[in-house]
This record gives sequence, C-alpha cells and structure tokens, in this order.
Amino acid sequence: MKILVDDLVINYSLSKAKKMVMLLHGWGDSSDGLRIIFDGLTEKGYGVLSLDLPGFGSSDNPKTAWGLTEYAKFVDEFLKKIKIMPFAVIGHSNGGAIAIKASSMGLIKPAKLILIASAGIRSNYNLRNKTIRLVAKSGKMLTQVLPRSTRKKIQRLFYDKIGSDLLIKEDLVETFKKVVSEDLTSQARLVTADTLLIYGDKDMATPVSYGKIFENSIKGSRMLVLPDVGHFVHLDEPDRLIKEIVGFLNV
Amino acid sequence: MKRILVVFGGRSVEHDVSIITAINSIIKPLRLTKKYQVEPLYIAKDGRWYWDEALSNIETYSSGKIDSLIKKLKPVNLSFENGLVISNGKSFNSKKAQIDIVFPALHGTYGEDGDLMGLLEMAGVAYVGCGVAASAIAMDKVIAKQLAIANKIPTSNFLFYRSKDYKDNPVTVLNEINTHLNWPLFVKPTHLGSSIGISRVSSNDELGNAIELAFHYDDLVVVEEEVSNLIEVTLPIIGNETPEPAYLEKPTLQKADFFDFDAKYLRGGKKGSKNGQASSSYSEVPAQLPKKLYKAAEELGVNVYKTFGLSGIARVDMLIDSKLNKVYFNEINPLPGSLYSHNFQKFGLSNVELVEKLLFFAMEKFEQKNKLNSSFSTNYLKQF
Amino acid sequence: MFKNLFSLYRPSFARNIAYMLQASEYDGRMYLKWLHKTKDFSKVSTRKQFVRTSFSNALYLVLVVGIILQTLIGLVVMTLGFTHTIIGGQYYGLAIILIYPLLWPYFILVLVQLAKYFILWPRYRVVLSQAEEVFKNHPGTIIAVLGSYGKTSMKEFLKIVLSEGLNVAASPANKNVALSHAKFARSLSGKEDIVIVEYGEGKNGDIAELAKLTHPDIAVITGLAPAHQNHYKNIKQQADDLLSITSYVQAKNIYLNLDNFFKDISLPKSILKFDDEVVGDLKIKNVEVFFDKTTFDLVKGKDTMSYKTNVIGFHQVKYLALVCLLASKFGLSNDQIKRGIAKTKAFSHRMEPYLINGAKVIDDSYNGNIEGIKAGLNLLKKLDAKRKIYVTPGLVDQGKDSNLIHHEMGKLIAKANPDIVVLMKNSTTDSIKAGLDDEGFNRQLIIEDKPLDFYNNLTAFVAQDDLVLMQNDWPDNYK
Repeated sequence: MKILVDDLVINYSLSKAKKMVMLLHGWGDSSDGLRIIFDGLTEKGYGVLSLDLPGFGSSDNPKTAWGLTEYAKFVDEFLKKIKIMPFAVIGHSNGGAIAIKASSMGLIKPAKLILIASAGIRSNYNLRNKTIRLVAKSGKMLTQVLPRSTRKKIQRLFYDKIGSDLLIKEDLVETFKKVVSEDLTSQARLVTADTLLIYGDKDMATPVSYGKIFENSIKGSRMLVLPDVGHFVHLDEPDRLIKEIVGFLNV
Repeated sequence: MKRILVVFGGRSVEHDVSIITAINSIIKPLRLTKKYQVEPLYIAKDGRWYWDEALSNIETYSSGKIDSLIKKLKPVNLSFENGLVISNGKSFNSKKAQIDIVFPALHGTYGEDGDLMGLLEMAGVAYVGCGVAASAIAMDKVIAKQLAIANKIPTSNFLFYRSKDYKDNPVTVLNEINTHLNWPLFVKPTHLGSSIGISRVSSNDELGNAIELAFHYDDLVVVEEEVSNLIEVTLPIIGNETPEPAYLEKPTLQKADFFDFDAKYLRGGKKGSKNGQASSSYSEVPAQLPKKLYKAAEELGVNVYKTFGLSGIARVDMLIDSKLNKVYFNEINPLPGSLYSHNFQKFGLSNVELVEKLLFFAMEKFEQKNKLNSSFSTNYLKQF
Repeated sequence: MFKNLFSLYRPSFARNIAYMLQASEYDGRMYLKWLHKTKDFSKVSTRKQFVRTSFSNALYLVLVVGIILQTLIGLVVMTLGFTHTIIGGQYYGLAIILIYPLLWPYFILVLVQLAKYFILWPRYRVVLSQAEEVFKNHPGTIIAVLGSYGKTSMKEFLKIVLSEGLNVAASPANKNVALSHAKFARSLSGKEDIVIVEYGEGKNGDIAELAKLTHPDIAVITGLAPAHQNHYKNIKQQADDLLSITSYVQAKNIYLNLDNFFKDISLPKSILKFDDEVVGDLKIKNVEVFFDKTTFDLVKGKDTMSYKTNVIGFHQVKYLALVCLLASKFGLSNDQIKRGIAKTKAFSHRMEPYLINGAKVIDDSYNGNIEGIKAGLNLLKKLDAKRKIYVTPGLVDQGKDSNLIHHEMGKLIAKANPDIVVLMKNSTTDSIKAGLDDEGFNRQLIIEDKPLDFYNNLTAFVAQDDLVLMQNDWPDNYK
C-alpha cells in the first residue's frame, strides 16, 4: 500500500488487529527485511504496521538531508495520517535509534518498546569504521537472495571499495552522515515506555556494549543478549526472537 | 527489405518495461525472420530520441552502459519526406533511413496514449497498433468508462474528480462518494498505465489518503466501486476490422488486494523460468471459467475492441462477478507489455508470427486510409 | 574474395586449423579434402567448437609458436633488407610472413602423421592385445551390436531390459572403435553376465577387426543404409563388411533386421531375420505411437503381452521385440521384461521428445540416414498437431548420390505434409527444394543461413501444440 506523507510517496504493509505493533527497519533495509517479524506477529494475532522509511524500499527519498529528528517527525506524521496508534514499537538498528529519538521527543508514546540491535551510540568507535561495518552487514543481508558465487563477488567488490569511500546510495550520503552523527545516550533517559533491549553477542555493528549503555539510560529496561547471533537478529534466530517479542508484548 | 523502426523507452514511469517489450518481444523476433531491416529508436527518460544499433542490445541497459552511450550519440532528427525519415546529425558519417513501418513499443504516457501516433499520422507512415483517438481514449479511464456506458457496455459505478475540486472542497467530495458509491472502492489516477498510485480502500480515512496519493500522479482521479466476488480476466486481441481474440487470461497470484497484469507478468518473468515461459505459474491461460461465462467475457472484450475502434493490438481487462455471472469492462491497454506474446504463443501464434501479423495489420490499415484520403484541390486561394 | 584471403591471416587461423584436424578425427584424407574446399577460414567452426584435449592443445601450440617464429624470421629478414644486409630482404621477409597459411596446414599434418606412426600405433597394439585377452576370457555372454543405424538405441535397450535380472555392462555411448573398447575392457570386473559391445564401422575390415578383439557370442545387426559411402566403395561392400561377423559368430546366434537394403543382399540362411512384423516366434501387433510414448503387443502362439515404452516411433518396436526375445532366452520373467521395456526411453537427440512453451519438439538431430528420415517423417505425418514444423539441414556424407538422395528426401518431406519446412542452407538445400517442388509442396518454406539463429531462438518460432521435428546434425566439415 502507498500513502502520501509530506509529499513523499511512502510504501507500507498493514495488517489490522486490535493491538497494533509498528516496525521500523534499519539503514539500507526495508519493510521487506522485517517480513519475518511481520508474519510472526500477525500469526500470533497482533496487527502490524511496517513501512519503508524515506530513502528506502519503495518509498521516495527525502527531499533534503534528514537526521534522526526529521525521521522521528516523519514517523509521527505518518501515524497521524494513517490514524493508527501502535501500542508497541519495534525498531531494528537505525530503526531503533529513530524509535528512541521519537520517544524522547514525545512524538510517539507506545506502551512497549523493543529495540533490536539498536543503533544510536556513536562514541566508542570512530565513525568511519562503524559506517563500514553497518553497511557491510546491510549489504550482506541484502545479497542473501543472490546465488553464493555472485554474493561473494559483490562482497569482494565491497571490501575492495572500503579503501575509497562510503558504499551507500549516493543520494543518501548526506542523510547518512547526519543520522550517524547523533548520540542518543542522554536522550534515551527520556524514554518512558516499558523497554526490552535485544542484542546478539556476535554483533560487530552495534555491539552488546551499546545495549548496556541503553539499559543504563532507559529506566526499567531489560536487556537480552542472544548467543551466537550477529547484527541481523531476526535472520539469525527468527523463532527465538518472535518468542521473546511475543512474551514481552503479552505481559 | 522493409525498414521497421521500433520506438521504445520514453518518458513514462514504464520506461524500463518498454525496453523489455521492444527488445525481447519485437526486435528479436523481427530480426529472426530476416525479412526486415530493424532500426531501434530509444527515447531516453529526458525525452531525447536516439538511434544506434547498440540500443537494440539488452546488455546496453542491464550493464548501465546506456548512460555513457547516449552521451556520445547525437539525438535523432526527424523529417517527413514521403513518410518518415530519421537521421542522426549532419556530420560526414551521419546515417539516414527512410522508414516503412513504425512499431511503437512505448508504455504509458507520452506514447501509448496517442501522442506518438499523432506524430506518425502527421508523417504519413504506417504504424503498428491503435490510432490516435483510440489510444487516447483507452488510456483515459474516465472517457473509456463513459464511452462504455454510452454503448451499454457494463462497467462498475464510478465518480471522477479534478485536483482543484477536491482541494477546494474535500468534504463535499467525500460526502458525494459516500452517498453514491458502495464500499470497498478503488481510487486510480486516470491516465496512468500500470498499478502506480492505485489504492483499494474500505473506510473514509483511507479514502482521503488514497485520493491524495492518486492526485500526486494525475490531475484527474477516478473513484470506482469494487466488483464483488471478483475474478479479474484480461483478453489480448489483434486485428483491425475483424478482431482476433487470443485466450482469456486469469492471474492465479493475488498477493495484493489488486494487481497489475504487466507487473505480475514481468515479476513472473524474473523468477519464473528460463525461456520466457514466465507467466505460466502466475496466470491461467486459458482462464478456467464456465463455458458460458468465458464466452461472455470474450464477446465483451471483442465488443470493446470494435466499439473503441482499436486496431492492430490491444488488451481488454475485465472484471467478473462470479456469483452474478456478470462481466464488467475495466480498462484497455493499447500496447500490452511484451505484446502478451506468452498468451498468443499458447493460443498457437509464435512470437515471430505475432510480430509479422502486426506488421501486416499496420500495412492493411495504412493502405485503407491512403485510399480514402486522396488530396483534393479548390479554387479557394485564388480569390486572394 | 578479400574477406576470404584475409581469413588466412586472422589470429584465429591457427585454432581453426587445429579444429579442422580434430573435427576430421586426425584422418589425413578427410582433413585435406576439407582444407582444400575451405575458402573462408573464419567460418569453419560455426556449428561445433574446438575441444581442448592435451593432443589438440599441443597441436594448437605448435601452430601458434610455429607461425609466430616464421613471422619473426620474416621480420628479421625484412629488417636486414632495410639495412641492406640482404639485398631485397624486405621482399623475401614479407614473402616468408605471408606464406605461412600455405605452409603450416600441411606441415602440421606431417607432424600428426609422424606422431601417429611412431607414438600412437605401437602403444595401441599393446593395449589392444591386453583387451583381447579380457574379452576372450570373459565368462559372460558377449553381445555385439552393429549396423549402419540404430545400434546405440539397440545397445541401450538391451542394457536397460537385461539389467532387470542380470549383471550387464555396455560399451559407453558413441565410443565404438577398437581403442575405446580396449578402455571399456579394462573397466570390466569379469563378474558380468552380459557384456554388450557396439561396433562402429567406417571402412572395409572394421567389423572383422572389432570381432577379433571382442570375441562375441551373439550379434545383432540393426540395419543397412548408405550412411558412410565415402569410405565404402558401395553398399554391397558395406553389407559384406557387416556380414563378415558370420566368420566370428555362429549363424544361429546372429539376428538381422531385414530392412530395405538387406532385402537386395543374399544372406546366409540360418541367421535369424526380423522386421517390423515378426521377430523370431513373436508377432508385433497394435503398435500405437504418441508424442511421448509407444505401445505395442507381442503375440507368441496364443499368448499376447502388452508393452509400453517411452521410446517413440514405429521402427523402434522391432528392436524392443528382439530385446524381449533375447531377455526371455536369458531367463528373465515376463514381469521383468515388461518393467524393463517400460524403462526404455529416448536418448539425447534421438527421437527425443520435449516441450518448449507447450510446443512438442522431437529432437532427432543425431539421425544421419535416409531410413531414419523416413521413420521420423512417418511419425510427423501420423501425430496430431495444430501446426507441424520440419527442420533439417539435409544428410551428411551421401557421396555422389547426394543430389538424388536429397531430391528423394524433399519428396518424402512434402508427403509428410508439414505446415512449415525449415532448411538449414548448405549444398543439399537445392536438391531438397527441388524434391519439395516436384511433390507440389505449397506450404511455408524457410531457408535459414544461420542455423544457430534458429536453434537458439526456437521459442520465438513455436507456439502451443505445434509439433516440431528436427532431424540430423550437420557437422561443418562436410560443407
């Protein structure tokens, strides 16, 4: 389905039910990438709203360079337009950062917040390394559908390129720089929702240490570390993840 | 050897689909016959026209070489001398070609909607497919539905609005829709060829958003009732005065609430199988319908083809209420994606035969027209 | 003209020469004949590809190095000419360079012949005598399958059906010369109940040589047709060569397909002859051919057995019947035989049915003789289809009778009444066309001068419920 928000054509999937959950995907990903969670939750009787954030999937690109603030405002606009108030928000990676930002700004007030491998901590490593890692991981997931040989070729291409520059959609470079420049440690303190943090212990892009920081900042939050799981928790351990989410939402 | 100009690409959102239609379904089979000199004419997204052999190779586009290629090429010059002549520049190595038949392969706006046909009529050259008026009507959902109603061809109830009407008075519009139409509804931009901008809605909240979205693409928006107990079918037809329908086709995949035949077909082509047997798992050809219903849909399709004055090739989409056994006219595609060759192929017409037949129809129509329009002289100017 | 001349100096010249040697199986006479006929060397490998083996690679390398060396020498002489060290050296040099296409095609042949004589042949002799020991001492029954057509099918039918109850080994596909049989011998364990060996024949004496090597107990002669007249003087000599098997196998253990050509040949009385109606004590009845299967009954006395095979064609039934006869002699039960027959199916490119976009295609491109053409056209005529398309380049290797045979073939095609005939353009095209015309063929005729254009784009030419019969490959060495 498509809808016009701030003059941007936005693509989204919606399955309606009494209790609505919104999904926010990560950088370079799209609503399709969270399909597993979408299907898992609808199966359990939840309504799910999953959108392609501006710049990703089948949605239009933002017209200027956006930061987390613009994305947070956008999510608010979108929800108003579609007239849905999700009782829970699930954000993966950059989607998690957007959810924290929006919560801290009081734009969304979900009862429950689930942050999966959430980004938003920008101090530990230098920016460039993190960028590369995040993009590499995103690329890896996006190319999962390709045959192994092609995938390998693309990977090699990517790593060859690392020496030269960022490997992301050219038209989103400025947006990307803006998004990753904001640290959410202090803003996370403003989150009031009942929060569950889920991280994989093999995650290099958003390591467990990020989760620890959020756990300290967000009042009453719980943290769950999954063994042998990388950045894409929903791909590495889909069943376990759905179980944990549903368990948390049902309480 | 007749020289055939295949025109494709174009400024519409269906630019890419057009390239596939032209290269795979028109240029390739035409060349296999070895009977024609085939010239590719590519219209870039910015509207410039280019003519070069490399433009008939799919690699040029898939590899992205197209951008650097068209930077090197000079745009095409057209002139109307005994028909259509194309040339590229005036330099010493420029090429020039007299065109015998044009094979338009443009989808959507600026091409499928009669714009190109107008140019070709002015040039006085034979061309494949529907004429100016038929193309324009076919691509205008409002006029098409009005024409259907005027000819007692059933079509679902609808209302249409201009952008200004809605923006000035949204509440009136919503009220009017609520009074006159039954939910659920489809909201569509009037002139767009594919499913872009189309929404299916079942509440007032959704309706407003859907109308807004449709106005994002078009100045004129149609709101129509959904046919209940719906079976969607489509019928590709070729011919001039005597339409020859192929098989009625019914998509088997209904992932979305509504679908677009071309999109489905192409998606099928990607994942489907190797040799263009693409749509087999995505649609049913011929559609499995009760005999009477099949016949009724076929007749309606042919009736539409004749009534709308379609010629060469077109595809008529229809909606069937499977409980009432009633067939409704939905819309027309004057140039179906990939010529719907998979359907004709099943019907017993190979890809090569299909394109040759279309060339024949083009010449037939052209000659018929030439017979009528011999020029005449008057003494009118002598008075001055 | 210039293009032809230029083709001699293209970089691909060396590879084309190596390819021609390989494609003519290093047979000097065939190679030379081809070489002298060729005008444009850039077009010799339009249908098949150069296959890299260590031998072909070595030849290719010798050619490349040789040509480069010659060119270098030419350049040196030219340079010396320019520096006036050798008077007129530039002209000699140029001549040395330009002459390479005249020199190397012959020089390389001399090398090939020397290699054959000094290296390959002595080695062959040792290998062959070892193989003969294997066959001679083998405890199982050795069945020889020979004939000018149908032998690979016969061999496979035997293997499939007899395997239902016995341990069977058969010589590998299309490997039917002495050396390949020697290799096959090494693969035998000695525990096989049945060993089937296919005999390839090319020239007088071939059959006797293979019989001496393999010591057969039973022989099946699948048929006689003039497919290799270039190497046999006449059909009589060809028949005699096949019948030389009688010196090695007892006449009562020889089964012979009494086809049109054998009818004119006097045959030893005691060998068992079979045909489309009778095979030993079995009578063939109720043959029905479909696009993808054939059904038939075999009547023995009062008993009737019904069979189904995935092989298509009337002409195949007699071979299957013979397989039934032999299988029953070897003690297989009726059920085993029936099951075996049901497992038989077409082999690649031999009346092999497949579907393309709903069109029924019968690929018979390995067929290479007029009997096969007849069988295929017969089937084309009888099967139902919306539209029938017949594709052929003509027959290879028909010698001086080529025009006559192709004229006849044209008439046969016309009689089968296909809607479209596609001829791959070559020297036989005119004769076929004349035959078509004489029989009053008035449907569509397409003459295709780029065969690959047609084969690779078959999907664009066919539609649902078309029936396409493709007969005969056309190796380009016969152009």
